[in-house]
Amino acid sequence: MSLQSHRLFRRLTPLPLALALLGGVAASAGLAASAAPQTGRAAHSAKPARTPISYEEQIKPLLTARCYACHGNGSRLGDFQLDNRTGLLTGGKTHPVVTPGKASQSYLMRLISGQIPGKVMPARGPRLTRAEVELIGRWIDEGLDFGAGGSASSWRPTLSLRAPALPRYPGADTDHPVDRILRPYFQAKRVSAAQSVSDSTFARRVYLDLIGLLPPTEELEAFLSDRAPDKRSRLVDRLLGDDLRYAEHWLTFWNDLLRNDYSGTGYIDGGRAPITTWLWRALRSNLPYDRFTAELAHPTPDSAGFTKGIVWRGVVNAAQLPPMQAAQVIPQVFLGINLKCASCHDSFISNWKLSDAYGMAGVYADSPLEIVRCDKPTGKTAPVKFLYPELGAIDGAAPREKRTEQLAALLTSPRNGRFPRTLVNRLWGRLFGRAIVEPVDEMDNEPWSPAVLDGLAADFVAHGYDIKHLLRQMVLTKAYQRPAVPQPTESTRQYVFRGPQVKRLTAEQFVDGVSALTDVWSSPAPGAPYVAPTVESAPPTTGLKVLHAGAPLSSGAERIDVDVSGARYLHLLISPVDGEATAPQGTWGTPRLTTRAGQVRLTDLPWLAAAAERGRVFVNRNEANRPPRVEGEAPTYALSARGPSVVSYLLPPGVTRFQALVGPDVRAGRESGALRFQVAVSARPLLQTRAALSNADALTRALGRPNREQVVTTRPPVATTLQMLELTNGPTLSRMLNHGAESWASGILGGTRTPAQLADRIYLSALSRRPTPIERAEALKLLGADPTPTAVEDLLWSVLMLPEFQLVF
Amino acid sequence: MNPSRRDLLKTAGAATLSALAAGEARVWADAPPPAPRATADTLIVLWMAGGMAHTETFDPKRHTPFSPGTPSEKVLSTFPSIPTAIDGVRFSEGLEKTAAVMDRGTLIRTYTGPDLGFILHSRHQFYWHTGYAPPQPVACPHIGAFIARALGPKNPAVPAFINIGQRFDVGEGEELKAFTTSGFLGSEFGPFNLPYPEQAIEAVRPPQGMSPSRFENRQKFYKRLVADSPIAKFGSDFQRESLLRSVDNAYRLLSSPAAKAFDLALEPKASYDLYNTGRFGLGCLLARRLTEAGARYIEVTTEYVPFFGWDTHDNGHTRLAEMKRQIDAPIAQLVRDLEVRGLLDRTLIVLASEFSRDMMMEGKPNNLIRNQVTVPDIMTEPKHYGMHRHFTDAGSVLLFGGGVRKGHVHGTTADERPCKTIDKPVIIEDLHATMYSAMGISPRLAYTVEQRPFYVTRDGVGKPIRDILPTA
Repeated sequence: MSLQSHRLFRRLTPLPLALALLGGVAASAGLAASAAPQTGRAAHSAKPARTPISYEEQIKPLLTARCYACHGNGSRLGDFQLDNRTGLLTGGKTHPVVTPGKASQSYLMRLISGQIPGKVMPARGPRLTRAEVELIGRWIDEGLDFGAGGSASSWRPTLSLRAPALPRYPGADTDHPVDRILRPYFQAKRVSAAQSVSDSTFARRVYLDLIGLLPPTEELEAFLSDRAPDKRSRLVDRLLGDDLRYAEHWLTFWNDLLRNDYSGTGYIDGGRAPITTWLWRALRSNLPYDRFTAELAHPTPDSAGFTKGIVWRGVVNAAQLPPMQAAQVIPQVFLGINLKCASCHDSFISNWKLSDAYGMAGVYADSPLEIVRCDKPTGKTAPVKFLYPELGAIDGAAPREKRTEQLAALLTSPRNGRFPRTLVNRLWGRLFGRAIVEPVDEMDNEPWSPAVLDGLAADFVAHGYDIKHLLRQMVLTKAYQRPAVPQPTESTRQYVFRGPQVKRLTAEQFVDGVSALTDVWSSPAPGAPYVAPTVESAPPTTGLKVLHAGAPLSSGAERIDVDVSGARYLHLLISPVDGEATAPQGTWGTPRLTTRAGQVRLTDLPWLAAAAERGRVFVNRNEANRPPRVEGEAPTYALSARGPSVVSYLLPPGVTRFQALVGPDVRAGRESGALRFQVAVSARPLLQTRAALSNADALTRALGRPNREQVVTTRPPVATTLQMLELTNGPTLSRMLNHGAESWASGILGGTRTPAQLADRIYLSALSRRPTPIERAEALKLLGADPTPTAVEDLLWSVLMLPEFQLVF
Repeated sequence: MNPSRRDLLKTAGAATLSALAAGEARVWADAPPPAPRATADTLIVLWMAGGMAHTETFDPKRHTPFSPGTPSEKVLSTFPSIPTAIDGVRFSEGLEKTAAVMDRGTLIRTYTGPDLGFILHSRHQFYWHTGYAPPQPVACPHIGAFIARALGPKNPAVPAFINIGQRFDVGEGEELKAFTTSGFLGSEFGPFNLPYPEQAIEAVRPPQGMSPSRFENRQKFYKRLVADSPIAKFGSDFQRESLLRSVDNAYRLLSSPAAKAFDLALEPKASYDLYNTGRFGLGCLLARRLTEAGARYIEVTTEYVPFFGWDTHDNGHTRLAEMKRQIDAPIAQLVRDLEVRGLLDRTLIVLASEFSRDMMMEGKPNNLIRNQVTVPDIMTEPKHYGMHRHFTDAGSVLLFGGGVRKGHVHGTTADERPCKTIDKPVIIEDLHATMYSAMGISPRLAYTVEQRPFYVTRDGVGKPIRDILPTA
């Protein structure tokens, strides 16, 4: 915001509120005595026996009426102002004015009680009454609390954790330690005991929460029939142990949070760099969160995109220079602090100053940054520093490498309780539908249970910042296994935890669910962490049949002519035989199908999926943007890709042959090595790509996949008409359902054509339960004796649109 | 914004209200600024994507015909000028039909934008459509999204923010997506994209291959499943309710008579032909039909594709002749049709572009930026003849209907190079403020994001131009 907006802001905001928010800065300088180190957002020293004085209600009106005309609102008579804590503590030209906690020793008390003849304050108007003087005395005794925006709460955030790590679990006491902490909470809030949710509800929850998928029917049935008492914890362990699916699911969360994507603004001019490769490895290996963060703050070439920021061509506003972007996203993501306002001017909504933002930005700046206040250069620079200097210093004179290393160490310091607490809170929010501190990016707000938050955070630290351990701790609580409660529509101030809230499937969960149900999967985005399947790695369930297994070709060409009659999916695979890094691109020249109606160019058909681990699959051109070549000739139409790669097509009915002329696209250069071209067909798709690995499209955008231009920490919680319009007639979902219905109706999916079994299996796959007798009867009426693809499609659509499918209970 | 909030309550679906309850962006401040009296219910933005040269369209200067050997710097306009319906006001040749309706509107000749340090069309378009230059720390909403949020749909069966003619799988597509969005306001207020006007009907009818009766039966079946679902017995919760309502809304929209408005095949041939100069012309026809059906905000673009359309890096003269052919008849017809139907008085049409172009100058006279197009000192071939550089110190904006003055010209530009603004410069904040004011929205209306205000005009500074909108 610029200067103009300041004026508007002042007009629209009660001024004292802004001032109250400015209070308490001194605490970070250690001026207030307190039991726990405090973070400096606000401070109070002594624990008052009586109801504490409310600055907002009692002190502010008095000071506003009697003092601010000369010593506030910008007036500083005698160099003294008392509309903020710093001003009060600094004192005036001649004297220190107050000693927090000690009214009797404070000069201010002598002034206002008229003890110094000729120097009575207020200088104008009647004297303060005795009661008023006493009130101010008590306020000083209580530590000069400027309040937290009028809240009556005495909540103060702390930097260090307030709770010890949770006791070991499972221990002698079978109760989960979090549940033990919650027992008195529930009593105090009169929350009645609740039965744990059913096994199928639990399974659906943990599958979606931990790996983002609906429970596959076979796995669900095995789990339901398991009689062992520890089956829930074994299921949780199995899901968390599934590194691939775990990474595919959590990629969405981290891409949102770290604003990483395969395409988006900035890439066009090199103003942005992806961190996908780094993030994928970190998730697959469950990189401890302290190292995870350190590698982002003090980056490797793979992870540098995060602090590189996003820049469009042209002049960038000072408040959005890349180092300033880093100074915004790092505190937001890792500490739940909003420095966006303070990047332009001292914040009105927190105590963060412009100098704090510049102090952070200085870590990433190549040369000292001049402070720009609301687009006006000030000629000053700010010393490089961390937001919490009490944790340690950053050497502004050191080279950037050193500075980022120091920042990483401070962020992940064991004394920085905000660091684990912020992630615990985010993950609790993910699993429980509402976090312990809301909004999740404002970690100064009061948690509904500081003990649970900090207990889990301490436990997380004690377990080496192991994110999977933390997730496990959460989902094994009875609290997590309570029945879901509706999201409240009212203010969150009176929030009482009664159980997880009903959540909505994310765009990715929805699409993955539909993919599992229809066997139509996304196509991986170029740059997605994709491992191209090979003939050898294809699961047996795909029914893969190799029709052409070419000999290794390092030059020359090979003519392919195979019978594909009756096949459903066609796959064109290229694998480098050895020396894969130097292998050339491969060309599928004039790839064509023979149908009853004649020949069809494969390049005229949309592919179902195309994936190349390195680069992408090109149509009618190669990587160098030139016509692809086979044996030195340029075919009139062709596909081109580096191996390992695969392009899959859904064959139209009546296709009999596939033909092509294939070979390496050898040009004079460094490339050498042989390629193998293979053609295969299958009954099920070979590429089963999760939505998180594909580019956003109309469907996922409609369902809330964000533009990742900004850090995104929450997805929209409710459905909208535009979304349902996309689900009702959008081409993507229609195509998936259309194709999936054919697979169900023909028995390829579900393995049955019996209407009753079909209905059962669709319900099990989609909703993790069988239909009730009434539901089954309805479904049978629709399906008829011999279910047509059309009828199955309408059943599938209807089930997908049920709240029970789209919401997680 | 109390009046508009009341409007919202009246017109918006319950889903919107639930969305608000769920923490979508709220109006900032306890006492929002009073809403001005609306003079328009619908806003149509006609977007000349790629940089429309003012000297070749609505602000012609001395005409220099092409001849090999002519110094480039001699050329101000490559077309002769023609008279308009306003005495003494001339347009560039090729805009005769629009010239004939100019007595119905206002011509701004002095829109001046920032150069933003470097020309990137999508970045300047972002700026024009949001009032902010990217990158920004929060997701900036498009003006259409602000209007959708503030006023809601006019007819619940017509989405409030309709965007016609732009594909997003083109060059700079990601950048276009970044501002064609509701941003932090929430997806309820996002664009309803119709890249191909002649296929618009596809977006509002049952999925391809599904008969209306099957569509209806599917909905009935679905309702029975919902009623039978054991979850229904868990009682009400607003997520579930809003989902069901949204499904109902979508169904209603897809089976509503209003959907006919999207179907250009239903337009009488004679009228269709008047508009049919290509996709933009058909987009104008669609805009007219949707205005009749009760649309709130419609944008029709000539479509931005790098180096196409108005983005002339060469052959400017020839290509502008074609661009003018594409826009002239449909713009005039849109104005006339709305007038005949009695809708022009309550419909504001705004034609604009991200910046202008010039043969020689890149940026502004006192703030030149790096040349992005090579222009020879002496023209030798026809491809050299045209406005190929990006000029930000003047630009034309046309406004019709919706309470704006008729037959009025605002601002003057220099008659010699640089053909810059010499009085009454119009900045984006004030242009937006004029548009919002006509729609009954205060330029100082703000929504809350991350505890701070985000104003519909940058920082709330926009002032409606009273010379143009007398009621403001």
